[in-house]
Amino acid sequence: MSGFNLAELLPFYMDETDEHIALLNDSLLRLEADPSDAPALQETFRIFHSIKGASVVMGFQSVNRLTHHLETLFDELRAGKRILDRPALNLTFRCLDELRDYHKDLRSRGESSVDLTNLVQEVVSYLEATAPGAHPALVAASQSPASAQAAEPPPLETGVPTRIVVVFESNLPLVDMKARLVLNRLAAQARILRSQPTVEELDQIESLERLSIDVVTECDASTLVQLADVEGAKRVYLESPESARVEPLATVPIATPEPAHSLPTPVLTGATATRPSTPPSEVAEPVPPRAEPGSTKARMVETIRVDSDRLDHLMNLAGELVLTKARFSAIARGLDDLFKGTHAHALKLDTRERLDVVSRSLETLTTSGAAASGGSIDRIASHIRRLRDQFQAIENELERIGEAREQLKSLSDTVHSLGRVSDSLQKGVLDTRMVPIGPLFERFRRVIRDLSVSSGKEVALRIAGEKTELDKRMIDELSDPLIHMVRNGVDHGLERPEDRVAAGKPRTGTISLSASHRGNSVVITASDDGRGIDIERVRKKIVANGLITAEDAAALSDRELTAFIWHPGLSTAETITDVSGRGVGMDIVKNRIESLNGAVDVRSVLGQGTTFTIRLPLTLAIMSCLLVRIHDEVYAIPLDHLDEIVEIRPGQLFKVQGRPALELRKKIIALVTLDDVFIWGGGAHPRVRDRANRANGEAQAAGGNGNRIVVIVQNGETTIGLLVDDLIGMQEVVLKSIERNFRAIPGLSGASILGDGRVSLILDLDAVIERAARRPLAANLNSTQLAASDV
Amino acid sequence: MLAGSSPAKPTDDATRRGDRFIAQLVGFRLGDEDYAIAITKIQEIILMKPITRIPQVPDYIEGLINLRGSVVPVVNLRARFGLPRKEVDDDTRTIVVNIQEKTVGCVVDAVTQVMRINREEIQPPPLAVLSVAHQYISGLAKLDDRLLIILDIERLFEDQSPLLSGQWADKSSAGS
Repeated sequence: MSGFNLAELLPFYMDETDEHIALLNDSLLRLEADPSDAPALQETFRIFHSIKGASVVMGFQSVNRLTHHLETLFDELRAGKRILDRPALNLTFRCLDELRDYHKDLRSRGESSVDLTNLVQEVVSYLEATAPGAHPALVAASQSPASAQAAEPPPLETGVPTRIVVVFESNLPLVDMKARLVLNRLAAQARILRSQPTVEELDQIESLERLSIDVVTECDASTLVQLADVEGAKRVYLESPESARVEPLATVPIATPEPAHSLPTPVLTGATATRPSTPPSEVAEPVPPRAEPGSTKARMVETIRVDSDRLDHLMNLAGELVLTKARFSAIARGLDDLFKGTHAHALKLDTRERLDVVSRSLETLTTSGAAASGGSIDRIASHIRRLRDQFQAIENELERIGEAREQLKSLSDTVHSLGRVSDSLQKGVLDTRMVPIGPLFERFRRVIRDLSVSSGKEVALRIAGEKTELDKRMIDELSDPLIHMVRNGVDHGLERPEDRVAAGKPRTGTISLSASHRGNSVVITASDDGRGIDIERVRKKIVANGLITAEDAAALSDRELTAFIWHPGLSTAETITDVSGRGVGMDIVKNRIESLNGAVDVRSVLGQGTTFTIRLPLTLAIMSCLLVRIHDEVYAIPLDHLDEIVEIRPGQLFKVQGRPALELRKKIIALVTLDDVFIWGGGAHPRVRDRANRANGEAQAAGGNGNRIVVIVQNGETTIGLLVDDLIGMQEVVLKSIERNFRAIPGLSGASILGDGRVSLILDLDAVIERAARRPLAANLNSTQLAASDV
Repeated sequence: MLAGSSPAKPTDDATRRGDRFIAQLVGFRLGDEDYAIAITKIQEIILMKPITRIPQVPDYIEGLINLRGSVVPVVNLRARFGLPRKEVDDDTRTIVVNIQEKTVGCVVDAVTQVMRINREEIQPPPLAVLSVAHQYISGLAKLDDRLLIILDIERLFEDQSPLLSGQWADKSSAGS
């Protein structure tokens, strides 16, 4: 092992172990719901085994020791020699937490100061105190050196696999229990490879006549038969698994009538049914530990770990490629326009014919001897000849143009297919960053469990849309805000069980997490069915905290008051708990989500619950945008906020309290210019200043007919019309950070580089709309920019 | 500060002496004054590029440029020091400097020369200098008959965030 560079292996070990710990969490939660969940027991065993193997390679002795004992525990559990009771489960949960802490420390510092010794001792004492009797063979086995190999199935005793067949009496009462008993007795002396039917299948079985168990053991045949011979067993015999598989019925000495359905292919357990083609020679191989234990988490996809920087780089390149493609398309379109125009073919023929006619008539004139005109006819004839020669050259040129036109057509086709390739390349690269949100949601089962224990409330978690995919980075960033919201929901939202019952609600409160795609964005909600936000309490609180005056507070609408929960330093919880209630956090949640170009909203109904809605772009890297021109500069408006584009006549404009508005399908919409929300170097945009100066005396120049283009945008709640100078078109833009070299600019999501190499700004419409809604009544810098009648 | 260079390679005596006694500077002009920046801070010097104006920033921030795929802010040093603006001409240059992790462009009237100046000739700025720029001066030196103002470019960008115009301050504090 000294050949390895352990430091290089560490990242792989960390990633793998993190994954294992996450899986472990899942399976333990499943076990908590159903302690006899055999696939979960199997899975837990397998994970401890894998961690154990990996840790021994890395030389993490304490992890190795702890997982070794846990492996032993779960080996006995899965063999049915123990029952998973509460103390065992809690102990395992604690081990999981310690392991997680250990590895967190390891990841951040390269070594870990978490001491697992006490925990190891605890597990050992638990194992000893509750030892199910004879299991020395198992312990010995799992301590064998072979088990140290990572990701290898558990070791097996040397020996030939043997099949024990138990034939029960027909219609034996409680036959499933008898079968379990047989399995338990055998498990004490032998390692069970598989059984037919499997332990979990026994649950559903009402009648059973034949139980076959494949084991590997050192015991001799008579001992095995003795172990398996329980009351109600008509006959017990041994056979070799291979022969059994070929002709199972033929080898049954007593022809007991067996219904076909109770005897499916005997070699495979239910859990391995997804791999029905296992050849008989594989029987000796330890199938059960490797097979995915029929869980919903079965992931057969092969994966490669890739440094996310590399993906980012690819992403950028793909983005540039898409831009270049857009440039190509523009050039091709330009050429297309150039080559359009009338086909000169007919014209060409006509001209040549006329030239022919003229020269023929001239010849006739010459031959008819009309010399009267002297040499002038000759001169004309020579001119005509030269015209014909020159026309020949023009004809050749026209032909070349015709060929060029053909070439252009194939250029257009090529540009088109380049577009297809670059678009799907970009999409492909994007997809590599997309991961389902499911695992993030699953983590909350544990969060909810802990919260439910610590708060004394009964909480159920409901998850929907876990297959929804979004950018990996976003998933990582979402974890903390979501945890905060869920904690808030449990802590502040949900009532105590008795209060719930008194309010006529189900005793158990529900926290729901859901995710779904909506157009270009992902919507994630976290809701509770608790008491909801008490608006009056918020009103009192903000006045008490001196945020606004009582008069102002009285004038605020419910929605405006609800929005105060995002204010730093406001919490309506009566007691401060260790989970939440200190009034910090919600503002951080909002900031975090906004930094992901997302938006968060809260809605609450008193007595019914609270729902947080997070809206995020699908990816951080690319945005579909409408490009518009404002003040001779190009701005990108993300399509997910865009409702429509309208052209308005000056007559369609109104003034509402001095502010311009327009009517669109009977709705009055505020009309906003960028200068209402932005300040340029301490004042209006220089172009506006210029225009304002020029407008003194001159009539309104814009657009000739005075019509203006308005882009209608919304943030899900407020709709505004944004006045633009010109529309350019739709485009996928690659998001570039302004913060990278400067700092975040409120109102801008970032910048992008256009095909012509210039920087364009991407508007953060959530901020723009919010800002537009909050702008002071009086200040209206740029009324000059609107219709002249306004002045 | 430049003088506080690390005792990097004790063996390389010449380099060390160079570091200690000679400052390498890039000179540029703003109006009729001569300025200089330590060459170690400079990434490159480029011609003017198309600039995209940005809102919510002080007026001496010209806007953003595309520097080989990166979005880089550009500062007009004339405006930064309260000098009147000047039309872009053939001599106008953007000096691209690296400040900590960030890359920033500085528009100057002209880049004059690269010079080596003995550190002993650099004197601290007199308190009497009353230009906006004086707090960013790391030293003064005489160059022929002219006075050379050596800028501490790091300090020039230290106070970026408080210079926001008020309205957005509540939100912008989160971003910086």
